[in-house]
Amino acid sequence: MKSKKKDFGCFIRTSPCISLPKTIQKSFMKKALLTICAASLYIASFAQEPVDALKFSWYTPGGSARTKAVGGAMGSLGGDITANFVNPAGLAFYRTGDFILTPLYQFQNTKATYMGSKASDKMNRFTWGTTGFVLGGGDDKGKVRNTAFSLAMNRTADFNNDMLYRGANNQSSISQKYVELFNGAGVKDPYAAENNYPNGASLFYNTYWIDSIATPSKLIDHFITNAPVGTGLLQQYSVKTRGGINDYTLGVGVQVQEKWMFGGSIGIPVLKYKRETEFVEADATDNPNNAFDYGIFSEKLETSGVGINLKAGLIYKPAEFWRLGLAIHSPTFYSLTDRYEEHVTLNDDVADADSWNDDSKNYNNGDADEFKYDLMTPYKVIGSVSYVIREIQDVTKQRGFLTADIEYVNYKASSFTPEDEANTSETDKNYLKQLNKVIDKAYKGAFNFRVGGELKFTTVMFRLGAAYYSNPYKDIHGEEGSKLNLSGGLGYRNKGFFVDLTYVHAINKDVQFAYRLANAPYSGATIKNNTGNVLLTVGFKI
Amino acid sequence: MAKVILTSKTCAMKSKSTLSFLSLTLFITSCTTVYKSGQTPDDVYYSPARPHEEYVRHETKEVKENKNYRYDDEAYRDDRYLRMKIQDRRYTTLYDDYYSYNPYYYHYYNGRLMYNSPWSSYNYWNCYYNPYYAPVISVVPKAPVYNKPRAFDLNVYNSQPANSTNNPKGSVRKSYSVPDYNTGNTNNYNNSGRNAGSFLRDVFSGSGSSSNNSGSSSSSSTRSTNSSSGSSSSGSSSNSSSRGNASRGNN
Repeated sequence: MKSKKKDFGCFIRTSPCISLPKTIQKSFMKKALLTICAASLYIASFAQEPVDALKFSWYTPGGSARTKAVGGAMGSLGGDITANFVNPAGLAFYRTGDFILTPLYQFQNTKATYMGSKASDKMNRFTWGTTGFVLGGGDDKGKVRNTAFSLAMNRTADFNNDMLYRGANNQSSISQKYVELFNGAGVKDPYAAENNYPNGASLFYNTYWIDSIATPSKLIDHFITNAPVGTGLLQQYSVKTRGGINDYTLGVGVQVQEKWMFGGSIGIPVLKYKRETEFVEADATDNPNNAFDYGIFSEKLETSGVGINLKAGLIYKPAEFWRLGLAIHSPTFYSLTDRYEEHVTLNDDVADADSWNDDSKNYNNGDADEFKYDLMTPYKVIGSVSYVIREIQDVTKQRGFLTADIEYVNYKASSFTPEDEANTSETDKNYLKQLNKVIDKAYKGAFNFRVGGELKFTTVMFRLGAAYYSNPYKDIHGEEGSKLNLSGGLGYRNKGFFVDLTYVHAINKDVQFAYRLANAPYSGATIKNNTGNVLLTVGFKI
Repeated sequence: MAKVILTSKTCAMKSKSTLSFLSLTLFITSCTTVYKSGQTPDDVYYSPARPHEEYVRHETKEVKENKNYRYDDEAYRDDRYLRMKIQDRRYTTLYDDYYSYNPYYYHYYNGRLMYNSPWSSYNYWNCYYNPYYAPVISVVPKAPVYNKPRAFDLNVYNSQPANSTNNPKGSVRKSYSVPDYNTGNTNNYNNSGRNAGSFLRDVFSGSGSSSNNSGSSSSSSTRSTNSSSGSSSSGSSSNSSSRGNASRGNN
């Protein structure tokens, strides 16, 4: 590793060093200081991506196999442990107790289309779904007929996915993102360019993916990309994400005069998210004289933390067979820590020479960068209705049910704040305010729908369901996404235990931008993810 | 090495949690006896109130049986102890209360008489107060880290680029005939034995090298011919010095 040079007298250090007269040096020093100040301000104005807010709020929540089979429509149904996570008032239907375990197996296939090119990637994995117990009971006397208490864990969100796409691009390079950054910041000082943007732009500059154009007086005028966009670039982007949100919830339900059910729960979601990305850009031609063969930009990000949320709801039975539900989920208040690092490799077609390499850890004592912050996710409101035939204790006369939920989620309500207000600079605070405004621009409130039904034949049950999570994006650059779940399942309940087997086929559509540009055309990839989920809930009456 | 240790620790934790789950499951299963005969209630529809009386009666009976059993068991052990004392005279000197919660509880180990004193000769040192017995606490100094957010240009959400396709489906010019790929988990340059550039050109083979359109970029590289309109690039990597902490190498 070569040592860092700090000789400001040697202005353009990439070429053979030019010694400047002292007056010019002084003048330069002033300009350099001003540039550094401006640059540091600009650094602070770059931070968390808006998409970070969406990934922790736009998901299809897990549940027991029975509820997933009916599309997750649990807002008014009750009597299942999943009520903890949808409408805790549903716990009030419990007069007995359940203990359940839900292993889950997933197999994913992600197809991406980028610049007319299609690619796909696959992944299979095993995990745990909803697990926990409910204890209910009552004496059918007085106003409060029934109470129930529950402790449960739910796989609220799952981030496990592998994705890779490729495309031939003659319109832009990822490096232009950092050209725009430098030019926008008015960076004129090579030292600032080399060192003040260690999580991207400096790495691109130091490895000659981007370069500077000097004025006749040898000052930096502006920055350009060395990637041969005009003759075409072959691009490849791979994303590997892991982790999920496990929500540990304590819930209580109370039944009043067999007409009203009230419930509340407190959730402690534990979030773990890991993302490894790699963007490869290669010269489409075999030209050895354009000083660009290929470049690789890789990033690693780990986000972890704990949050808290509250859910409250009620279910009203206006007439026999009918149930109406209303539930409100508070925002989840997360305290999160990001640890992240970046690396750039560039092969510049120089014979007998290795590639250029630079790493963000080189600028942080060999350690990954870290940022602690708070994230507030959107609130949710769920309205629901169920028709249950029949609400009678003799299981031979229980025939089935139909149930439906409509849910409103205000995705633009997410917001970031620094964890430590006192020790956060004003510029960082202002940046986060700007970011929250951009989240308002990028996302919108959306309605989600869940519907399902069950047919029951004493001990055997058949189920079907569907769920549709609509587009949370505002159309800024063609963003659009949705999640459709189609599900079916079987259940068996006898001799104090029950088994439910469900298959959920998830069809997820999304967009993915490896980079965005303010002053040049860029394209995103359309993502189609098909995930098969096999859930098995084993439960015992207690 | 550290990774291996971590993995084995994780495995141990996983197996522990699996065991806990299984134990809990067995425990819960044993609790379901009350529903093993007759109908199994379904709380989604309607379930009868928990059969309290039966439960109480059942419990009472069980507790009673258990008490009897414990009584019998205690009597049985007393009886055995007395018989043992009679048979072996050595035991007559022993302290009567031989339960293990007594810290001075005597026991035989390898034929030697021992007791649970922290000063036991077997332990050689008082392990509670031995200054050399203290657990080793290693303090790993925390490396300084930037406490700053990740970089992202928010301006891209404010303005639309010129000639923007405004469509992620890609209505841009298609200069290449691009095949479809099933990338799987292994179809990448890492597994190909070639560098990323050669690999991608091979993937797009037959079309990439023939492209010679003018493109729409206004920022074609001028690094190797950097004298256009009086400007000059700050240098070419082919003969330039290193910048920042970048270096040539294979890392």
